[in-house]
Amino acid sequence: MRAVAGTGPIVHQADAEGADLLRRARGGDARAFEELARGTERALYAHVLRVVGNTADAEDVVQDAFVSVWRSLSAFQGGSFRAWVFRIGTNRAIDVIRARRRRGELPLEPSEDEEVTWAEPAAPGPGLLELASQSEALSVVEQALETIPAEQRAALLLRDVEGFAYEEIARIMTVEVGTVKSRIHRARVAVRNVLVQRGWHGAAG
Amino acid sequence: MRDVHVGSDLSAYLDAELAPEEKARVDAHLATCDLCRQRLAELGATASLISSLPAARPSRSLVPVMTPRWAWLRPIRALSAIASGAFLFAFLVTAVARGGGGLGGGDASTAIFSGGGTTAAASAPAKVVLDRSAATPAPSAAPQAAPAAASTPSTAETQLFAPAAPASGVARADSDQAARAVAASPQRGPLLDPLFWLGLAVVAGIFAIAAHMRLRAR
Repeated sequence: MRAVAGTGPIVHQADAEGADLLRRARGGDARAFEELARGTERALYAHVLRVVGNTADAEDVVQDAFVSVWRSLSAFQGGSFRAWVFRIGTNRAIDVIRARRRRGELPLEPSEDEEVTWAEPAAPGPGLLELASQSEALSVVEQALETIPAEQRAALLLRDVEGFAYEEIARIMTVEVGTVKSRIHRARVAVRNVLVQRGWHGAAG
Repeated sequence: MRDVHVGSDLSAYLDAELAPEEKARVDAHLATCDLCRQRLAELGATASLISSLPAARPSRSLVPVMTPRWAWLRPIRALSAIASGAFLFAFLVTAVARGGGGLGGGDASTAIFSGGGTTAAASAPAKVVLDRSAATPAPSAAPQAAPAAASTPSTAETQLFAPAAPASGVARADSDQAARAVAASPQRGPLLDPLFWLGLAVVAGIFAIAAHMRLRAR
């Protein structure tokens, strides 16, 4: 049912392969670090770009994040390098969003306590699964993601694109697991709402 | 219409993030609720779409080069190490080649390492010069000894044998050159001096080690 269900083991395998690189990088081997960083560069960039919304900020955030990771390598206690990189990158991306909010460029983050509302389908249409490979559906999803608060968007992307578990996302975003659960659900329902309002209905379950 | 059903547990259920008892409760509800089953399917399809979004590519490399100031040292380190080895080899070759001809190099190196560098280096050629032409006074410095040893006897010989037959003159010239070569060998440029090569090997080695340490340091 879940297309991302297989991501976890792959990530862990990659982590195992990167253990030697990580050990060398912690020993001061800049080339090993660069290789590790290149392994997460594109995914981190795509993630950060969706959180901050523009390429210039995304590139700055990712580059700064890598510098920060390199400088704090000695403080890294172990675990997943990938999760650690995403933690620094995600937090920096959200800092960018919060700075924009302070300048009044973005609306304030809505309360987590608000009710989740389920939009009704506008009209019968093709099933979502039938459209999953179509660029039109994906472009609607991209647009829908842009409409939801950055914190929720980041949590949803960490789950659905990167395949992190709720517990890992909680560590990455420095929030409670309950908050992660709520953010992911709100974000996912929001994207679903945009989709069904475009005339699609979910695959019959 | 609101979540009198299973609320935010629906996404957590989808993500297999519920505790067993919560999952059992959702399972029980789903068994009886068409709406929640429909929504679960919609959320699943939504998650599936999100997971298949294409990943954007950055326009440039975002991995900073962590050692940009010192990266240029890498070829220098390699070349210095290779050069040091080559110089060391040259040192050995020249030292062995010279080992039979005299201990000048050996004497000199011993003296140099005991601290009397310049005078010892000068004394080695001085000995040879004295052997080859007793008439030439022992020079106080090597650079002066070289032209003296090379030119003084040969000039005299050339003048002495100049009127002789051409054939003899050629023979004389050959022996003259040989004599000159032997006389000048300790001083004929630094290329045959083992110490020259040893010095280069040490300098190149120091370069290589310094570059290596700089590259290893963060």
